[in-house]
Amino acid sequence: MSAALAHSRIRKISSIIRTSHLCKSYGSGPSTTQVLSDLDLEVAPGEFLTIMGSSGSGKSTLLHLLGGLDSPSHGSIWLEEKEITGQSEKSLAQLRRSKIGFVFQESSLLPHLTLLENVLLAGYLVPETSNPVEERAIDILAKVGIEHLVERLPAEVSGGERQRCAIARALINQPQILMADEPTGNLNSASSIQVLNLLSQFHRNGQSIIMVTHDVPSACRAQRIIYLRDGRTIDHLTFDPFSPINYQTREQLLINWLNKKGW
Amino acid sequence: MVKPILSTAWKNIRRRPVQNLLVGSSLMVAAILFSPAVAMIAGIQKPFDTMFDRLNASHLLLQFDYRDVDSHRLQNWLSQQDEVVSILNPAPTFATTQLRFQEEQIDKTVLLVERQEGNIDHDQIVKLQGGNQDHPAPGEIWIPKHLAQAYSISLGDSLKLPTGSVPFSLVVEAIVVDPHFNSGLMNPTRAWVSSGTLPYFAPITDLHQVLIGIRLRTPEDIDPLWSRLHDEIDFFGNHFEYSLFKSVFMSFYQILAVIMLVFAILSMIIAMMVIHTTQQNVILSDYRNIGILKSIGFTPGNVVSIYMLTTLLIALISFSIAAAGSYGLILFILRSMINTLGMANLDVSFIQPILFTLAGLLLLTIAVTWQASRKAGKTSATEALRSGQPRQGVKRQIRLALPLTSRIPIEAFLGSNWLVHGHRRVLFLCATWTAAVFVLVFAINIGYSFSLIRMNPAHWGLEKGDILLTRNPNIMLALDHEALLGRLRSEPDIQEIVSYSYETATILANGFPPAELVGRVYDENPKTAGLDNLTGNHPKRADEISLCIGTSEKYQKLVGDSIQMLIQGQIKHFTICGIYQDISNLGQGFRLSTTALNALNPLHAPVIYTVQLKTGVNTGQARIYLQKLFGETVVVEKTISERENVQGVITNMKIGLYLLASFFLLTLTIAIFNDTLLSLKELVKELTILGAIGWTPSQILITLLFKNLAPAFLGISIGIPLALLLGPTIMGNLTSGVGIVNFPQHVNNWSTFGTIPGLFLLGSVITWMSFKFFR
Repeated sequence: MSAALAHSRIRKISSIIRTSHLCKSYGSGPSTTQVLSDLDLEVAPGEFLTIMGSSGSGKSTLLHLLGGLDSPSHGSIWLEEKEITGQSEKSLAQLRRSKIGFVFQESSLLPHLTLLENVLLAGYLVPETSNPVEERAIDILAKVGIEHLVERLPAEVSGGERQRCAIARALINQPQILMADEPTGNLNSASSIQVLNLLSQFHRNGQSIIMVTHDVPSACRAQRIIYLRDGRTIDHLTFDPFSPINYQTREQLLINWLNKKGW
Repeated sequence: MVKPILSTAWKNIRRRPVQNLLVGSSLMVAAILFSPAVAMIAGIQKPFDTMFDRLNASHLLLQFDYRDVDSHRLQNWLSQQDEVVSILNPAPTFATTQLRFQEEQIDKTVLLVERQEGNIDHDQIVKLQGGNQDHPAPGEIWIPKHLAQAYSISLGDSLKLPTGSVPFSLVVEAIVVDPHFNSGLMNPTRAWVSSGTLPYFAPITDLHQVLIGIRLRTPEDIDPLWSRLHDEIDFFGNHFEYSLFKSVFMSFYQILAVIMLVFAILSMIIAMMVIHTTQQNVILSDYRNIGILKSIGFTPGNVVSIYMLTTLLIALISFSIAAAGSYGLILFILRSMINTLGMANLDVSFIQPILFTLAGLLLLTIAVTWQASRKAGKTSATEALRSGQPRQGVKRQIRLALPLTSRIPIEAFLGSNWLVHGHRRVLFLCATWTAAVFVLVFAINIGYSFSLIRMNPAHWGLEKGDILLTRNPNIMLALDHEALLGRLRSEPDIQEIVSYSYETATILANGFPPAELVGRVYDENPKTAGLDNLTGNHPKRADEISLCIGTSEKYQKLVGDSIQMLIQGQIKHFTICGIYQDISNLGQGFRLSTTALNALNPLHAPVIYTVQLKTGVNTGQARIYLQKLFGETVVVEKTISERENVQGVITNMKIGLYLLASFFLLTLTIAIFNDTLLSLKELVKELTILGAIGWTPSQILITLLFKNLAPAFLGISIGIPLALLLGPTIMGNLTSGVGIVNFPQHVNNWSTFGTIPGLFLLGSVITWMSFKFFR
């Protein structure tokens, strides 16, 4: 499927997150560094999007802007058709509590809290739903397969287990969108596969995911891949959602596509 | 290798301006407090000694009745002694308590002394204001500066002395510095009149006292000379010596210097802890850089040198500023002394002690910095380059933090976690809080206790009372003791009267030269005036005496011991029945009962009456009423504790204490700011995570407040009781030299406990400021 066709198909459905003419620059005057330029992006509900690009292309900056961790220099971002640009830091924090979940490259757990406490710390931020927070935490930790490690400190478990805990924490409040910044960057291949399987599993259950990665096997888990260069989207690739998933084929396809971009 | 080390150290300084500013300011505050304290202790007596030498002041002043002592024989004997440099001719003296300025009675005994012509080199007087004459002209008076200040007397004003029906006017021609009576704390004081004019205004019958000044080679010559004088000459009279003049003048400055030193040590400990923790944090955050330095050939020693140099350069800058600040502070203190001493160009240099102190502090800083920097040298280059931080798992610790449940705010949970995991720095912060709270509460309550001297004079060895009446037995139609006491007792507004008189005795103790001592002879039980003893009881019987603590220590006498005295011309043995404290005579003196004195002199009768008024009676009106009632037969005065000189010292003491407390609050502010900033720097990754999962800045601030206010709570909980408990002990040690061993501390509950919300507010504001600064 061509990129243009896939693009038009996505336009027909409403977006969970959308940007318009998004710009981000650092510094001022002659020393200004333009990180993102006039970037338009839409992510559909339930979509798994991967952002790729060389170092310094603005991938992480874009993810941070989408998650409200940083504010753009120009342009707008809409989350569920509600503009989040210009909102106060407090409002953005409240958005992140309930609508956005973050997973980072390095273990982003608080080192002096147990795995359960790390998850609860996010859970308690949202007013109690029908399920008590403690119950939800145990449940999500079980879903990521580390329910037997809940009383361990991050330093006492493997990198993969830490990252699974980070995913559990990101999902405890059932966010509309999960944002992952190089989630397998520091993991060995076995742990990477476990983490990617988890992400795929949550995606299959309807979770929207935006992931930044350098890693080709990781990127293949997505439905759509956009490629950034110098802060602009230069192309995107969409895998046919109707064909059976074959990661080896996808990897080959992606490598060819990336090679054309000078990867 | 020196250049790369220096340039890296210099770049480190430029890289962390805030941290360096905090370390520098902690060191600076401690040094500014430390070096003046040391300099004061080392050389504070110099201005007095310089003044004393420059004015060729007499080391010994003898006041006696020329009818009892052969002054020619005394002068001849003195002139033959090796220790004596020069002797002044006997100067006629008249002691009065009735000098008035405008409508106010001067509440001091003023020794009016005729200024002798002749030897003007000996016992010179510095004229601060006035004409060029060497001596006052008839009708003129020279008064000391403290008297002019206490009563706002200016040149040209008239002081009045009652002489029969018309008061005699003495015009103030000069305001002077008297080398012997330069402190307002001393009673009596001295004023100078023209030679031969005393008979104009003093009753001839009273003009039999003279004053002789003797200058010796050194102050140490006083004791042997005084001992021989008693053996070879029958001397009866008062004597004032160098050590008394000096201790009266120096007592305030010495207490201030010791308090400053104690708190400077505390402040220095805090500064060293700030250096240690900051240095460790800097090394931690530079971990990868240290790996890079080692990989390009820096030895462990080189790396340690970089971090030591960084702190030492900051220390050098701070100490340079502190040297100027210390010098300024000393000049400020010195100026107050110079003002009192009236001496310009005192040629007293405090540069040497300041430099020595700062050098000592620098050595201490080097030691602490070296201890903290060693970790940088031991860093493994591989580990630093690979992980950028030391390999250490978070140790599972005893869960002192709050449990994470829905019932406890998550901010409190996380704050308690930060507390437990940063326990070293928390302990340091607790120590700083404790020290600052201790000093603040100490200053509040000690200052308050001083100000209550008026309300609780008995705790200071002064009689409780509202008015002091002195009976004048030398006028025609004088009231006798019984008549006056009977009249006072019939007054409905008077609650209690305690009558006493001053008595001079010479102590004759084995191994000590005979020494004169002024004591009080009470007609009633001194307990009536609220007076108490440290040990034992008040004297009741004719052979009982109680000694002031300074005298008991000087002669090593305890309750039950006996002491021999020459009193009322008779040698008498007394049994010591009590030891008491008294601020009014620098811890020296004795108490006797009238029974004891009447056994020696049946005509003895008290002349001073401390009158305690009934509750609600206006003291000022009662004073006027009594003066009108008794006319010239009595002098109505303020009580000792109400007098301006005592109140002036209390004000100075309170200012000094509050200044110290301010220094400590500044140190605390710096420490909290520093710690919060360092914590935030350490937690920067954690803060990013918290931000990503939806923590608001307000929540992070609340967590920080929890972390910072918990040490505050602990510091306050320890500091307040510690200050209340140790305050009297510390002050007792400091004021033992002025006669107060058991410091009468009174707790100002409102101010003490009122500081608690203030301190929490301070902690919160500093935390908020550093958080804002960090962001």
